[in-house]
Amino acid sequence: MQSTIHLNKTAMCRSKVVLAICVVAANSFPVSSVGAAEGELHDRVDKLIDARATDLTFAENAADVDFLRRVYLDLAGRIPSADEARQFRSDTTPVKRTALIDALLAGPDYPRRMQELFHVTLMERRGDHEEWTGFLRTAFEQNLPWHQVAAAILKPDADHEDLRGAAFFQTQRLVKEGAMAPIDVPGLTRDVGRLFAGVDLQCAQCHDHLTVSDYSQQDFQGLHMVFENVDIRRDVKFPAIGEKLMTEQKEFSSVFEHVKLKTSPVVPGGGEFEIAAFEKEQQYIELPDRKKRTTGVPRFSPLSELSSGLASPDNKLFCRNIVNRLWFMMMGRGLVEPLDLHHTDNPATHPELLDLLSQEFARHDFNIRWLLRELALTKTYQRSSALPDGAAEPPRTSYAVSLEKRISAEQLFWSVGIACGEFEAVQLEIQSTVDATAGPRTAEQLVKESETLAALQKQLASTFGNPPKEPEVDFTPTVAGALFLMHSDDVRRLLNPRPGNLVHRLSGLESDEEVINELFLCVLSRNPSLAEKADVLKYLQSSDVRRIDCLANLTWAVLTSTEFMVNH
Amino acid sequence: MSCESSFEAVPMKSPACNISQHNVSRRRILGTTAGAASGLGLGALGGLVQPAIGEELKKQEKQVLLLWLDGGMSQLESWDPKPNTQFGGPYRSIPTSLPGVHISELMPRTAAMMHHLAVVRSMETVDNSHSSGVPRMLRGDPTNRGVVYPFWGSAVAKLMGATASGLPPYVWVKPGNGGFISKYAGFLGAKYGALALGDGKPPTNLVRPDDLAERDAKERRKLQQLFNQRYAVGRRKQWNEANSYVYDVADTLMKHTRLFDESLLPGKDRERYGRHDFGRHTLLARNLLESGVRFVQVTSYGWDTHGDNFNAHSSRVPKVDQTFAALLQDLIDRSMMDNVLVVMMAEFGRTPRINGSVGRDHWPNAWSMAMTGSGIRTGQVLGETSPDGTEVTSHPLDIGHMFHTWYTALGLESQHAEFVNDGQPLPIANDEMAPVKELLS
Amino acid sequence: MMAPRAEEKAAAPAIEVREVRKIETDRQVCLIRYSPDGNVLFGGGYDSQIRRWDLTADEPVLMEPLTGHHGWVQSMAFLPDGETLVSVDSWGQLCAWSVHDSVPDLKWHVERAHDGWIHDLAVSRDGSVLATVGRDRYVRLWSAGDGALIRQLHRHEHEPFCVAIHPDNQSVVSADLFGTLRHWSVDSAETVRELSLEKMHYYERIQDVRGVFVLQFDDTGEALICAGGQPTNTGNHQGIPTIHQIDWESFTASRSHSFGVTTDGFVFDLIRHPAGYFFAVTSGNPGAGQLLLIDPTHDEPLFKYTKMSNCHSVTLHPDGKTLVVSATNRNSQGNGAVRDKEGKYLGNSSPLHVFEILQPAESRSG
Repeated sequence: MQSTIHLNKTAMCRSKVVLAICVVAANSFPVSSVGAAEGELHDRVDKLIDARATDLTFAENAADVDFLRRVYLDLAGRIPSADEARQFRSDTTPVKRTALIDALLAGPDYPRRMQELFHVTLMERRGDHEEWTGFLRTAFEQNLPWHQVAAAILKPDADHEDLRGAAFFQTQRLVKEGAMAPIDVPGLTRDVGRLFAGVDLQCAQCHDHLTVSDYSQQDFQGLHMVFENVDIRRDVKFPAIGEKLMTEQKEFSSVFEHVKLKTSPVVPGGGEFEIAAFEKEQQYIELPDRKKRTTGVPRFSPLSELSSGLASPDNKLFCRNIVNRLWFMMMGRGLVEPLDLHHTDNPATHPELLDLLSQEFARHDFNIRWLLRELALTKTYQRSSALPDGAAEPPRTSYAVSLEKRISAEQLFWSVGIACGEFEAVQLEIQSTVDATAGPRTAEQLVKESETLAALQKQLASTFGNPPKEPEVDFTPTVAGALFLMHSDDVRRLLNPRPGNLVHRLSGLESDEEVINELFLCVLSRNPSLAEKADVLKYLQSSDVRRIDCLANLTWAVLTSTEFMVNH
Repeated sequence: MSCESSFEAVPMKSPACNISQHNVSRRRILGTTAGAASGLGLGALGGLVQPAIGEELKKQEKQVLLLWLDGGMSQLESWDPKPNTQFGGPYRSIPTSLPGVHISELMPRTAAMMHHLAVVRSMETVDNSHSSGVPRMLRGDPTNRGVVYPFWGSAVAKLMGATASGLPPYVWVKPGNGGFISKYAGFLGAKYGALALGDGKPPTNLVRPDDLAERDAKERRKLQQLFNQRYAVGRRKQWNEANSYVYDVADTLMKHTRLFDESLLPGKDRERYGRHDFGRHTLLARNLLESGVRFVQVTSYGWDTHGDNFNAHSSRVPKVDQTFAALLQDLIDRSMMDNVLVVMMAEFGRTPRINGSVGRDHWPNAWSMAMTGSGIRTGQVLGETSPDGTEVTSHPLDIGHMFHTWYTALGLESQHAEFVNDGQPLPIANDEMAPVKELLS
Repeated sequence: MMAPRAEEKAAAPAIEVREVRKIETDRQVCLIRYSPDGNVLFGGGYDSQIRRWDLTADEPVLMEPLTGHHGWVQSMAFLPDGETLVSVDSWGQLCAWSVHDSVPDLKWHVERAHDGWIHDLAVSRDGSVLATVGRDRYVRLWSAGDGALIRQLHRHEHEPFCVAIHPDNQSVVSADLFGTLRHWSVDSAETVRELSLEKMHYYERIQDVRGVFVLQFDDTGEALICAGGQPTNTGNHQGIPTIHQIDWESFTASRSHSFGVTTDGFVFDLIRHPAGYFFAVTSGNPGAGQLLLIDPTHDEPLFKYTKMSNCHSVTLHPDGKTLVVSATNRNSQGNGAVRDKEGKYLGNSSPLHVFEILQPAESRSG
């Protein structure tokens, strides 16, 4: 008996999962902001926001605990652990928020968070591929400038081992979906417009857009011809594409006017480019070879032209699209909404701000980390999501009160795992069943080793993610989600007391007071209010169900509360 | 291939314009607020109906059953046969209980109950593809106001709400997967989506597992509500409301788990309706209506008979005939005809000309649908097609007319009632059309 | 005309074909049969008529059609007397016509031989007995002389689509929706044996799809051919063309050929050439149609002729030197109304492709 307990205690000590973010010196990024005369970008952002909301009452600066949870969710893709929350709470230095932002941006969670975010944004849950995951991870680990990331996707380089997985963006959209369904090249065309230039040209496919005068049929057809020219490569195992020979302009006509028109390839926001003509024997760099199943490499690559014309600081749409999307990610609303409908008649809520952000972003070499840092430093970002006393709801576009944001299925998974102590529990299980000497693992390593964790991750994605091809922009709770949280085996498993997990830990605490504090800190990253404390105490003292069940019930209720389920 | 995949899997398939994309900017042109994106999430809870309408209708407890034959049933092998003509196909027509009216020999049971039906043979609609036809039929082709209109079930759920039963107002019984399907709710938002019962089965995780005591489950919900109330103080209401709402629906559903247990149904009924999917799902629909669900849709997939149309209909139509006749008899026997509006339709019919695969293709030009129940004048066939079935020769009707007719049959003033979305009034049916008086009792 | 087309040769075929003529029609003619003297081509289709073409002149001459059928005429055959044509329709009528004169004569008819669609008709080797199967699930035997009902076999559980009479006149075989073959005793009217052909049926979304299209005995009665396809879905008519050779003594499939891909569809019709080959025609996805030459001892067809759309029937001239395939016009499918320049709604038609059968020596010299 003695020895068993002793062993468990030893295991507990070693079970600490590697979550802690090392807070490093503030301002770890060498890129400093622009000239002092204009001020730091975050200050200028706040000024522009304030200027358009002079008649509104602004919410206060968010409390530390609210900021803490928000910034962890946004930049690390998860809630803070109890230790991290404690550490932040005890930090009394005045620049601790800045320090935390910098630490998170430099930390190990940031590339994973960005990989997940950009995966969902770019693939819209059409499926995944390890090469693609690898590409995104590399891109954010190395903090590749956005235009390079975009270029890798638009004109994938099969010879670049770290980045070649970017081709998955195109190959997965060129897969045949059934005997009757043609390969959806128009869909790929549309998504390139939407996701890289913020323009949804779909309705300009067969005629000029009926209601958006900026979008012409030529815009669609000129972009479409680039992707009509693309093939999935069959000679390699990884996702890769090839291009066919393009020698002629594309003919098209409006279904209304039936006048024959011609176009060369068109870059969204960049205009037409010429089809380069070569002598017949000069057309190919590498000739097609049927035996090797290769389609050859033409000297003229429309994708290269598209890529350099689109992923460029000179392309306004390209710059605006990405800053608008990053702004949306941080602030809960796009300056232009819908995110993929930028045009003259649908201006930004703060046009000068959109311009400022896109110019500065381009000037800073499309440095995503830098921009996220600046946004996180704004007062706008750090405001409370609670309405000021007595104030009416301000318009969402004013940012006078911080907007609640949807938690993605991915953020939910890591957060649930941390809140419930599931990663610790799994680590202990591995130590007790597989390898007693196993050292601490990161949460990501644990998912690779544990089938139940991987299954939970998959379940959450299918229950809380949108169906394929639907952008995830709003909070849309579902009955299926509610039932999953209420009754599924997965969630019940999380709440069964197992060494290392939250309910088990709570059951070992002596006083109700400790239980309440630990529960709130682990799940909501904060202390309970007096009223909440009273509620819970009353429950613990009056309920006649077994204490362990009481603790599971309490944990469930906090875990499924709106406060946990949204990023506020 | 399946029409399910042609519509569901690739909802935005080109070249059809995706309406939601068309529209957001249109709405600016129409001079309303551009801010909140239409159809996206929380516009959701903002879509209101003029309050008076809802209250009035609640008292009447009218219900709807939509039998949707996805892919398009052939009018020539069902409601509008043209036997012994170039395109008439192999089948004979048979007399019905309505003197002078004949329908296909594939529907003998329904023929005997024809006096309980109103059949329209003069549908003339515009879309000949599934991807645009299905949504237009199910939205009733409202005048474009730059927003995405809801499918009919979501619209009725909004306009009439849940009945006193408290059951979800829009339940969709379908083959394949179920779940809470919100993508067809349009500007009304996720809340008005369908509860889909995949293969008639209850939603996953509906049943409380044995090792979770009822008392614990109750305590959990009570505590959760307590925390939610505290969180909601001083915050925008919508998100908390949305999050709480789904639990309320879950609670209501859990009270009705018996509804989904096929084994509790009398064997005789299961025999009468047929043990195939359409029979099983329609029998479940009858039970759902009896239990008070406002709007039930039953979908049968696979009617897209581009090949072997005639053997396909020989296999399919008699099953529908059996189920439909059993349903009609039950609605009559249970005095439900006054309250329940029943419509059987698809996104279009099938071409007169027979292709090389011995199939028929998509045909919006001249096709048929059937209806009965609440507010419908039965015992009639309205409209006519030419002797070879290639065009409508009298009473051409579009889906907009039908929506007006059905809303009127349900007691709504179809030409005056409006949704209100973000302050924008939105007529519930096409502005340029009106109810078809001949079809109304 | 066209050069011989012999794609995908599996072995050097002993015979080859070459298309020599195309007879255009204004309607769909899904069934064609040569008269026993080879002078007239008979065609049945979707418009309740039996069309005739006089082939004795240089150009085919359309003759007066046989009228009196309803719905579709999808099965007909000549009696060994050479002048009686028997035919069935989709309204359940069985007819016998005397056709040796230019003015045909309806010898007898049974208006309700079945309740509804008669799917197949078979004539006994001696010409005395007819067998029919229909949508009403019955198998019935008739006197070829006067149309009297000889016997009604027990009702099929599932719809039978094909029927064949054994040369001994004692046995009848029918094949149903589920790909099940039943051997019936004519005397007892009971099932003697059953054979279930795997994959010759498909079910999805409340629809059964049949795989069996053709059922024929060889001259000796030692083997039975069952042809059609392995259906793979509903909606489009997709399946893998398949021919089963069934040993009569053991009533088992002794050899089964499946060839092609799912879009190729089904063997709609099949005839034997005296040299021991089969000619089969297939119809699958819109536009897909083939004429196949099959050596029963080879797994792959000796050749495939793929230049036709949706072939529904094939018939061989009695001299063994000409065959005709009824196919479908191009672009027979399409949504919405397809109209001509005057705005008239267009139906489809069945071009009749006439092929010369060449011995290899001839084809080389030709």
